[in-house]
Amino acid sequence: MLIPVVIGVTLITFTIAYVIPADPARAWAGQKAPPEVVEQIREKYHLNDPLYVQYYYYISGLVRGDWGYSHSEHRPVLDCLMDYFPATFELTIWAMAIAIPVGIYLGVVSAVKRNKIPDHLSRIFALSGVSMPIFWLGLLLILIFYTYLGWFPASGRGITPSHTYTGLYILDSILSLDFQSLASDIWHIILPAVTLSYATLAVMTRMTRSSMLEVLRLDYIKTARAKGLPDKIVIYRHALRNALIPTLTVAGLAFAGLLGGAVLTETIFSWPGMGRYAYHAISTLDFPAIMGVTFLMAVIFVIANLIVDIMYAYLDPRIKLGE
Amino acid sequence: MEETASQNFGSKYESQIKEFKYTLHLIRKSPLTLAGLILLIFIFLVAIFAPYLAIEHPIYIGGQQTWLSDFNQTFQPPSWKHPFGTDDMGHDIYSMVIYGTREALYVGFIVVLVAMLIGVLLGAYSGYIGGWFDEVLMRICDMFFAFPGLILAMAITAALGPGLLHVMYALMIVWWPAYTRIVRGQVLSVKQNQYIEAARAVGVSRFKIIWKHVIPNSLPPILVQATMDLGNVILTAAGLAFLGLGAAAYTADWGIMVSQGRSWMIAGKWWWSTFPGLAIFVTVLAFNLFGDGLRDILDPRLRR
Repeated sequence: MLIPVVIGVTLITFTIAYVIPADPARAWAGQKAPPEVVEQIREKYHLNDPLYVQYYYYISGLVRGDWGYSHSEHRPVLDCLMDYFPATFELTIWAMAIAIPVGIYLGVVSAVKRNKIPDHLSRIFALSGVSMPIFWLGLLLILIFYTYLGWFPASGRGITPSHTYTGLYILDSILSLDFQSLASDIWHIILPAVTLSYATLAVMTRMTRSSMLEVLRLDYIKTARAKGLPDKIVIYRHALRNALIPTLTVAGLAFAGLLGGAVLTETIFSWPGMGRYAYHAISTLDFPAIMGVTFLMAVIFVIANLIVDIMYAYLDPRIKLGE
Repeated sequence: MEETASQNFGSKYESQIKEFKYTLHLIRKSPLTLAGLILLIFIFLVAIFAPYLAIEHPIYIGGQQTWLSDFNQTFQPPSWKHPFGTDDMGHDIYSMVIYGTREALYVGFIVVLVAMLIGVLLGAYSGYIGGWFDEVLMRICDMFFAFPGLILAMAITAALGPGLLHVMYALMIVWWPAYTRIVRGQVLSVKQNQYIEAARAVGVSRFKIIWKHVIPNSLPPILVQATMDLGNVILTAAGLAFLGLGAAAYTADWGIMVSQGRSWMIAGKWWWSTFPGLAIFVTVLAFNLFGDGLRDILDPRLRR
């Protein structure tokens, strides 16, 4: 299941990297590279050979870990990505941790209080979320909470924990019992995580609302109410569990928005992750770096959707994997 | 003579006119949809009358948009003279935001129209004939869906080289698979109807069936999608411009304006980024409000 999709991903990244640019060797070497280097690249990646041969070398390069040379950082792309991945991972996980519970809660409230004031408010809040330029939201939050109020820092990840095990600063701080860095790291992640979570939160709210509305009309809900079960139990135990299934699909798809948003959010908050790396790569025309980020993000997105498929089976006993 | 022609028109399209009037009635009854529609009309008027509304105007040197600098007027906060303030070259931000409306709508419409056209042609053909062509096309679409949209557009634009035209190409490449899939799904369900079978039985050609019967009947959900996508395309284009892949600096492009004003925001010179960003937000919100309402209104299950 995973492998054909990843092969599809490589076909597209290969097309972008080798077919679209007027002179791929020049693009890969960088605009300022001397002609010898460009020739070297042309030799190394077999750019004078037919396309299917180039594709073969491209794939074998990816598998062997040769993802190209990042001339803005003067080291291989894969090394850079390994360094920057944990920061992006930590940020997206926290954004998800905000977006999913809050989004589901707002969606439930919206559905239960349909066409009343809480519903209108949460719909407007959700529509604003999908319409908000994420980079602009980040800037506004910086202006209010950093420039004017001075409550939160505006850039970076905070103090590096005394020991690094995973590269996730908050987890590492806890593991190394370094409470000073823990406080600083939580302080630093709040604004970017909130910024990044808003769009996803909005999508979750809308989906939960509409699927809750569908479920609440069904007979078994009427039965549960007729039995005299308290509202809370009917809503959260009976209705929500079924309403969550479509919401989960959307959560998987919304992960794409989260990865795209990470590029913009990291740029705004100088968050040292893959997104900011991509931004720097764009401004220095570091093409191999851009392609590396693109490929890795697509793979992460594919894996995220695989996880969603597995969670289906857990949430809905009617769905069995592998059948 | 003319009277009979208009009478013919009235009776021939009587049911369509009735449906259209009913749609208008439903829009009037939904406050959020109406709000979206009013905002959209306002935005279109701003785009059309930009030369009359703006204070300063761009000049074109060799096709390149240029705004005259005024170094006595740098970083003016919002005032009556400069409603949205000025930037570090003394450009009037209000005028640039006004002209930016034209560019945003232009990008949105061209990208969505082209993506829709590709989607309708490929999707209708593929859904109608099925077979290996359909199978291959759907797998190609799946490949595109494996990428986060902004990331894919970013990579394509980087490969083509920065610039507004290349951003538009990239967005078209990112957006066509979604339309192809929606149209195909619609065609598959429309195809089951008896009137299609009847048309085939009386010997109507395949092309004519697709063009005259299948496509018109699958249009409503595509139009809803297109309305929402106009907003999404504008939002993504702004994101690419923010990353430095779109229009050149100091042109009337909302994304690049937010990007240029960014470092000054922290220093408290908030107006340079705030107003263009607000323009993006309001425009995208208007399309989403209207599209969201339109979906409920055009949905035959909820319509009556």
